[in-house]
Amino acid sequence: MAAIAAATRTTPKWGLMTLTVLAASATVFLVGFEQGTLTGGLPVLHEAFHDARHLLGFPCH
Amino acid sequence: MITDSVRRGLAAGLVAGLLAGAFALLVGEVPLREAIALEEQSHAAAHGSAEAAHDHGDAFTVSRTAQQVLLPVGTALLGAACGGLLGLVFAFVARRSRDRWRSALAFGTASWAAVALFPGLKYPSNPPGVGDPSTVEARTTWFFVAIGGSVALALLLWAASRWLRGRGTADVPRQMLVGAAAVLVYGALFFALPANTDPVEVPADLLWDFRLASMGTQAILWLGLAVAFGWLWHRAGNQEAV
Repeated sequence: MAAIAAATRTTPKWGLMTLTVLAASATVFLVGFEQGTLTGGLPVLHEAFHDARHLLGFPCH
Repeated sequence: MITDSVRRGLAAGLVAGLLAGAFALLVGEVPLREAIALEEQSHAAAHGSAEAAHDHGDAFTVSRTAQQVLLPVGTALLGAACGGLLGLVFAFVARRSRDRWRSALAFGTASWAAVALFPGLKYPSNPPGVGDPSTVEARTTWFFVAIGGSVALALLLWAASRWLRGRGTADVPRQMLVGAAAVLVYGALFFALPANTDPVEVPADLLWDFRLASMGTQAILWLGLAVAFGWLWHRAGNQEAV
């Protein structure tokens, strides 16, 4: 019980939370949405994750 | 609590993503391969030469083998990312939960319905060869809106349910009320979102096989994540109790 009480009293870890949200959003963007803007117009990531994008339901082409 | 929850979400998401990737390779690649073959046939027919079959490869190509190898990599990365976010949010919504296994299952299933199932029903996935390149930006935007709106409604319903419980409403009428409200608001969002008007010119059975495989891949990713995440919490609880 003491451990649970201590855990709930801990202040939120803003650094960790921000890092998690940023890293996760960046991953989702790179795997699912990036259309070549970051690789000089060539759709490198779009083509690389082609099959994954189609089967995960992301809009394609 | 937050660090543990994020860590467990990442691990569970990675495993679920790999499982979903294995399913996608075994089941999803079959209609995907057929659709690519059809796409190349129609390109070749339209341009009258075999060389034109690869015309969208003029700009850049990744070999089919590389695309297949990267399929489980993509699902694992997406699984881990979704797992990390799920773990982060779970640390707040399940702060006072006494049964984290059940909470994780319920929260994971609700997350699947809100993030994958609802947007997937409104904008079903399409095999290669379907989709007008000129509408891809609009389709991506509306796909985002569908996910965002669906998650917002889920949070709103969750808040309403908590508020009713705080007011002392009994479980059965509260759950019936929130359930009915969910049908109404999700129905309204479904009809409010604009339809995808791109022509779909692949055979109906191929389209069905592809969409079923796509839904299956996403269900394995999200429900596998929910189960693995709940199991990690359950195991941690047992270790604490010992």
